[in-house]
Amino acid sequence: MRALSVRVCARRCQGAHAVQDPIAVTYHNTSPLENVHAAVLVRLMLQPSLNFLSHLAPDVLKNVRKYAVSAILHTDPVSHRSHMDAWAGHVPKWQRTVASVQSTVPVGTDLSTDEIHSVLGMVLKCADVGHMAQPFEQHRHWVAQLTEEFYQQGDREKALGMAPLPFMDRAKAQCVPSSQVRACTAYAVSQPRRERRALGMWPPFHENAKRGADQHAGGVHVVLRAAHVRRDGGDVSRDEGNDHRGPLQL
Amino acid sequence: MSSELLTRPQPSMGGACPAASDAQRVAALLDFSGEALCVFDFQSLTLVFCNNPAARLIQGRQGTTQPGALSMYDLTALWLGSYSERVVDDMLARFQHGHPYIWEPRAACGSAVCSFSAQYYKGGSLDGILVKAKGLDSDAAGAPQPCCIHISSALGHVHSMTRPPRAAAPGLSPRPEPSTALRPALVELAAPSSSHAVATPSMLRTRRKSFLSKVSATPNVWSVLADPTVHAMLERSADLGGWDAFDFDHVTLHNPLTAYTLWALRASGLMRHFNLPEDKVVAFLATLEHRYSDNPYHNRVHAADVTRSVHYMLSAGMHKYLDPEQRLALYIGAAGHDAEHGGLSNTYLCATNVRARCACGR
Repeated sequence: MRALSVRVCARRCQGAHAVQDPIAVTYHNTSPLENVHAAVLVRLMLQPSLNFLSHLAPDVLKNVRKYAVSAILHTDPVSHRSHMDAWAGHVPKWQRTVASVQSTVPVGTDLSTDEIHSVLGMVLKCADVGHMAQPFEQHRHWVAQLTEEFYQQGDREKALGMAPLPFMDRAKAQCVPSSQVRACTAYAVSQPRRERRALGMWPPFHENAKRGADQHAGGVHVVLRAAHVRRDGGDVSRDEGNDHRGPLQL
Repeated sequence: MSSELLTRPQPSMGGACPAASDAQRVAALLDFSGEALCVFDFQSLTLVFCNNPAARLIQGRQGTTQPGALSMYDLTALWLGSYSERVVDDMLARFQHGHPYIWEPRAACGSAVCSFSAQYYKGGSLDGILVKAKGLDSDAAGAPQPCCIHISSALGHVHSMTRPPRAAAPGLSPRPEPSTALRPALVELAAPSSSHAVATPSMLRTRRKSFLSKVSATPNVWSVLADPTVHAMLERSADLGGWDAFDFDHVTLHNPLTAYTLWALRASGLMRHFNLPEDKVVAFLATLEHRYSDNPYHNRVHAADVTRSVHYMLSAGMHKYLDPEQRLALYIGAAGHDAEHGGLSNTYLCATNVRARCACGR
C-alpha cells in the first residue's frame, strides 16, 4: 500500500528530484536533518507556554539551548570522523578532569567551551546508537526497524528512477547485517582503549557492541528473516568489497 | 441544530490581531479544518476556543484565558467515552442541551471555555472527544483571523490546533505546505465532513475506533508514572540490561518519551535543582513527542530509548563531570534529537525535492 502511494507520487513528480529539498538548501547541505531536529526543539522551548526555564535567569535557557543544539548536531553521521578526531584531541584533558573529580569533590571544570561541546556531543552520539549496547534480541529488533526504514527510502528512490545505496535496496538485503557489523565495529571495537575508558559508560557499551558485531556476523540469517527479505542466504565476507556508507547511516 | 448549542457570542471586542510572528508560530503547530478527534484518557479537560493565538495558556481545570476577540460560532463538541451505549447517549443528550457542566461560553473574556469533568459520570474515564468547529475564521467585521483551538487537560497543554487565515494578512507569508511530520492521522481525520449535522453516537463510535487504531491515546502522564508496572520498568532502566524500550512503549500507551523524560528529570534531581514547573515540562514533552512521526525507526520509541541511554550514562558516572545545565541539555537534546524526522536520510534530502513537492511525505 505504501509502496503504491510512493509510486503514484513519483509519477506526479517526474523530474522533481532534480532539485534539492528546501531543507537541504536552507542548511547548505550541512547536516540538514540535524539542523531541523535542533530547530524544532528550540522553537518549542521558546514558546511562552512551553518554556519551562522562563522562571530562571536568561543565561540558563541560553546555555541549555546552546548545549542541546550542539549535541544534536554531533549526531550527524557524516561528521562522525571529524567529531571523533576532535574528541581524540580533547581526551587527555578530559581524563585529567575525570581524575581530578575522582580525587577531590568539587568539579574541576577547566574545560574550554569546545571541549564541553565535544564531550556532550560524544554522550549523545553514544546514546543515539545505544541500542548496540542492549541485549542482542532488542538490538536486532532495532536493526530490523532501521532496515525497513532504509528499504522504504530505497523504494522511493527506485520509483524515482534513482539507484538506491546497496543497504537501502531490498533486492540486496544481505548488505544489512554486514553493514551492522561494520557499524558496531566503527563505533566501539575500533576505538582506542584510553578513549573508551574516558567515558563512564564506555566499557559495557564496548563489550556489548563487540558482542553485537560477533553475533551479527554469526546471525546473518536471523537478521535477514527479521527484515522480511526474500533471500535467506547471505554471507558477510561476500559483502566486504561493497564500499557503501553503511556503518554510519543512523 | 448545532447552532442552538451555543449562545451566539457577542461581536468582537476589538481584539488585537496577533503579531505576525505569533500567528506564524501557531500556524506551524497544526492545520485545523473542520473537525478533529482527540483521544485522551483522563478525568477532566478544558477546551478553549479562541481566535487569538496569544491566548494559549491554560492551567489546571479551570480555563483561564487572556483577553482576545471572540469570533466563533456554531460549534459542536461531542464526547466519546469508554461507557456503555446508554451512558454515551445520555451524555450526548446532556451536551446537546447545553448542560452547564459541559459548556460555558465566556464571551466576556474574549474566548469560550468548554470544560468537562468525567467525575460526573462515575465509573468511567473520559477518553475521547470529538470537536467540530465551524466559522472560526471570521470576526464580526468579516475580516479573516487566525483562529485556534486549545485542548488541555490535567496533563497540561495537550493539543493546539489552528487554522491559518484564508487570505493571508499583510506581512504574514502564506504557509506553503503543512509539515508532513505533524500527526498525520489527526490531519487526515480533519477532512471536511459532508454535512454539518451532529454525528450520531454510532457514527462517532465507528470513527473513534478507526481513529484509535491510528493515534495513540495521550494519557495522563502522572497516572502512567504511578502505575506499578511502569514504575518497576523505570527503576530498572538504570541497569544495563533492565530495559526494553518496546515494552515501555506498550505500558505507557505509546507515550514513552514524555513518561521517560519526565521520570528521568525527576530521578536525576534536575527537576528540583532548577525548580522546573512540572506541568510546563509535561506540556513541552507531550508537544515534542507529537513531533515524531511513525517511522519504523526514527520514532518516539527511539527518542525515549536514546533519552534512557543518556540517563544510563549520566547515572553511571558521567554526572560528576557535568554541571546541571549541561545535564539538562543532554536530556532535552536526547528527547528532541530526531524530532520531525521524515524517515529519509540527509543524502536523500540533498539529492531530491520530492518530499517538499508532494504531500505524500509522512
